[in-house]
Amino acid sequence: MVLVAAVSVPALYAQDSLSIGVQSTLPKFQLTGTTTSTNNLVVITNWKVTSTLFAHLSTCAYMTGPMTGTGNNTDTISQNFVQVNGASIVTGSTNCGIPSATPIVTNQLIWILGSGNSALSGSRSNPLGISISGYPSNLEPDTYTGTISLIASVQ
Amino acid sequence: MKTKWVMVVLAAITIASTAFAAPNTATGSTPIVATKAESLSISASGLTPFDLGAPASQTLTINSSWNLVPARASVAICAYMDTTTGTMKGTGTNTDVIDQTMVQAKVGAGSFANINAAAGCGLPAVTSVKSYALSTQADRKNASKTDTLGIQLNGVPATLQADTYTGAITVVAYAQ
Repeated sequence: MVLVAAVSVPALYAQDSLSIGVQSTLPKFQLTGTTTSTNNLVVITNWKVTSTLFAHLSTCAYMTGPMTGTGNNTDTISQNFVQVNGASIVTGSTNCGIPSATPIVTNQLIWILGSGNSALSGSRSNPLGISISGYPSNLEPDTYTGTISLIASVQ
Repeated sequence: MKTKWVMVVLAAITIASTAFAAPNTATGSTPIVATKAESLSISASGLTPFDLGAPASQTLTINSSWNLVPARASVAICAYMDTTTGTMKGTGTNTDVIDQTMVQAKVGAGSFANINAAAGCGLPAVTSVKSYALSTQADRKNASKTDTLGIQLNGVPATLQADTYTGAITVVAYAQ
């Protein structure tokens, strides 16, 4: 029995798939005071697991650097000021194996008898309220650009 | 029979634990973009009524401030008298005027010249008061400047009707 299981693993593993992305990009935030309005970011995760009877799905969002301006503008908007659902995207805790990432889905069980979000093949949408709050009021007028990274893992 | 079931379960557990010994990971990203609007303002003060009997020059004080994007290279400060809305007019049925040809301006230690002497600030006829280069962030960000411009009346007809004549000098801050 042990030999049968060991031989089967490579073929099944190759059929697994996992992806994470967004439904549409965020609109531009307008920096008028020290807190912006909140815009919706819908995170889409798709998975197909054939190599096991059960697993756990986790997804996270994080930023590795500040939002930067153009030209010789040295002002930046620290990632600490970017908020997810009212709290800084920089959590101070390791999630999804990423230091300070914000957890979106934490160890959701997916298994062979599950359905919908619990099935071994499925997808889910997670809406996140994104805002920028607490940035310096004396920022130079400019367009500031950063990157929100997303990660999904099944284990 | 019982032995077969145990073996099947063991096989399943073995497959599961082996397949995800290492996590299956996917990544993505999306941009986050924010804009802060720029601002530019200007005002002028300091002129008192000219005595047409003994006109003396006066100093117009021009205060400007701006907070501009890095793409801006300069701010120019100008003054002019609009040929229709700026003309100094009297009251009531008085049809006499003091037009822009009789208003002169002087920048710094220069000489007085017609206030609408030359092109500047994107306009055809102005007095160019100052141009500020914006090469550093400090030049662009929350900057405030004060400039002065000498103003005098010259060539006003002696036959003007006795009256109070009021017009307007327009000041311009032009960023590009």
